[in-house]
Amino acid sequence: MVPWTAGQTAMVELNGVCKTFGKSMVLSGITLRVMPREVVVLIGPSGSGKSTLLRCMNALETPEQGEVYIDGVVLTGNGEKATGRAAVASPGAALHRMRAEIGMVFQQFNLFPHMSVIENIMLAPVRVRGLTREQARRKGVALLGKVGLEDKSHALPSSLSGGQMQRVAIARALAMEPKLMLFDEPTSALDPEMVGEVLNVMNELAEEGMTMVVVTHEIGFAREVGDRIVFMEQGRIVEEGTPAQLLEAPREERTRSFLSKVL
Amino acid sequence: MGKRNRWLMLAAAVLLLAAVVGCGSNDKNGGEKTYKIATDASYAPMEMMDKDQIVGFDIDFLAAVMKEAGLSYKVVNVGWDALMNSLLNGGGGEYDAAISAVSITSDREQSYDFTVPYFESTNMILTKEGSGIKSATDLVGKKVAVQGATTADTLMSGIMGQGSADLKRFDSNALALLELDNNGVDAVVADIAVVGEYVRNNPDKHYEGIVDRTNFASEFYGILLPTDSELKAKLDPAIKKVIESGEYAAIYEKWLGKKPDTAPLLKPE
Amino acid sequence: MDFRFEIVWRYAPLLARGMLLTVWMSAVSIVIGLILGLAVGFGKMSHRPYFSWPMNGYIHFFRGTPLYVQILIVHFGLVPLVLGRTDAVVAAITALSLNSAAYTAEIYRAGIQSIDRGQREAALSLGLTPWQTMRHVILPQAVKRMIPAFGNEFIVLIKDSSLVALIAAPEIMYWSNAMRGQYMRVWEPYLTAALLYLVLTYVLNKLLVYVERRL
Repeated sequence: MVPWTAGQTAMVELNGVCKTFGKSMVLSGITLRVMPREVVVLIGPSGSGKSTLLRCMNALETPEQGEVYIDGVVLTGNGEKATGRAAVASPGAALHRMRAEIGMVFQQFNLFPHMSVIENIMLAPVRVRGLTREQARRKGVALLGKVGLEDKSHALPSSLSGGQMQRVAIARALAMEPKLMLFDEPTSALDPEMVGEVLNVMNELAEEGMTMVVVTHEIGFAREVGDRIVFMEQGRIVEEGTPAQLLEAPREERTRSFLSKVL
Repeated sequence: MGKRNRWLMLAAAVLLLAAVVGCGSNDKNGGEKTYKIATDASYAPMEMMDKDQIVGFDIDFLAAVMKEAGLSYKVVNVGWDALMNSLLNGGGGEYDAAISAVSITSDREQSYDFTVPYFESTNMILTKEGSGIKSATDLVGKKVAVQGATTADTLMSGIMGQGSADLKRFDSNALALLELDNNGVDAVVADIAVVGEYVRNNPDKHYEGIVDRTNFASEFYGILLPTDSELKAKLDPAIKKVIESGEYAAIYEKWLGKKPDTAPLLKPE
Repeated sequence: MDFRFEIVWRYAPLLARGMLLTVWMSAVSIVIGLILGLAVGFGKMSHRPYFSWPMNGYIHFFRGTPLYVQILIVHFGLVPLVLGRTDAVVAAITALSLNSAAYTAEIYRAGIQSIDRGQREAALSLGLTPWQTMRHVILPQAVKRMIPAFGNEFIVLIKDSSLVALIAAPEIMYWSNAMRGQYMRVWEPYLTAALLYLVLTYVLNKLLVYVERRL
């Protein structure tokens, strides 16, 4: 385990990130750091901006103000304003290279329906990393084993259950050997009996030391796996802390009120 | 659906189309009959529209003939297809006859009757000055535009071969002339009146008209009738009378700007 | 009614040649229209106004004016401007392709936009470039949805190609017009032409069903 040191570069750093959709301000000045090997869980009522914040971390959304750094490199924003960093503006090709290092898992799985499970996993390693199909296939089979779906390699996504699809989506993201994994409500679209199998995979991943940012309503998962919980409301971070602090002794009234509804 | 069924449906569709074709209205009114005469008013100066009026040589000539024959009539601009369809198969359609600068040819006589000829049509070659073209036979191997279904078409099909890729048939002389203007063809063959007017009106284009009496045998227009029409007996003598009188020459001069040579029209057959 | 088969028979060799030309012109126009339409469609979807505006104008012009007029403009205007003379087949293929591209552009656009946004996001999040995303993720799915619409467009194009008889391109309609003029008969030429087009569109339809099943 890499020890946390004061001078260590954050895996994710957001400085004063603002984002508006039309006239409504979805994020108003978010500043947040995620350190390597840390698991940060974003919670909050719907519309609080937590999914948008997550999507800013791989540039699926571009903030109007503020900067986003991944592992010390500018992802979006005007890097020159930041001080003392190797600021690299990242348009075009650089953006795709950086995204390849960041895995993302979506609420709606977003598997490619015209490809088999193994082809879903092989696509990016072959096209982006330049692996041979054989290398990618071996890697894909191993990852399917890891998520417990070794027998589904040639199945089409449409023949899988929701839980199975989400596990394939996780395997697909892991095939790129990312240094950061983003989860956007990964269990919200699942039937209750399938939530466990997906959370188990995520739990394992956290234990292996993956840096993770997770948007979820699963407070149990946040408590067990999260190193830190961030509570958001109306585009702002209201309160953050360890699960023990935030869940057992919230300082803010708004946090208490939210927790009383979901617990 | 089986393969056989699909072919049956295809055949049925074709038959249905064919059945629709045979139908036409058949109204005869009592008392004095008003003959309905069809035309396709798109061939100046023989018949054309002047705003909403049908005018032209054929229209004035028809008026003289019907007056001579003592028949009441009405001319309607119906277009080429309706005109033909009405008079095919012994008539019975809406129209009793058609006047539309129709050339008398043996191919057409298989399906229609014609009155005696009333107009001599001579064709002419329109080409650029200095093209070296002197006669219709010089056009073989060159590209030529005509208006389809005219005597020019018939003549040039005979000279160049009906399937010749060098003979281009257009819907109107206007398009054929435009094709010449854009170097798509070396010559246009059209009625003498059309060519003459185009050369006169476009001196800056340096075109010339070439007459070829040997290759361009005259063709004759007749009034188009259904086979075995009772009208033929009434119209033929009236046509001859109008031509023999000065009336024909006056109409001819009004529309074609010169005096006619009526001798070929009046010679005994 | 009497249908004089012998005059159809007499024109059969010419109609056969006309049919070959119709097939050739339509096939070439379909291919060019598909390629050009892809460019126009992407141009219209572009967020950059200097791409999207002209392409939008292109689509409006070719869908909003009669093909009849487009054929005349291309034949007597565009082609003489480039070649210095007219050429009916070149003009026919040009006009049909340009016209078809306006329609296929909209089919591409509708097909691509019908694919869930999540597909694009998932592909981008894996590090694929926008082009790779289009090529490997969006288009394979979209094309499948486009095939019925393309089929319609191809069939319309084959039938619309009859309009180029106007500029004396010797295809099916041109020769049936010649038959009509020579014998002054209506139904022999028209029904024969209709039957020939029916055969062509029927075969094309079969082909499309086959392609759709294979994909």
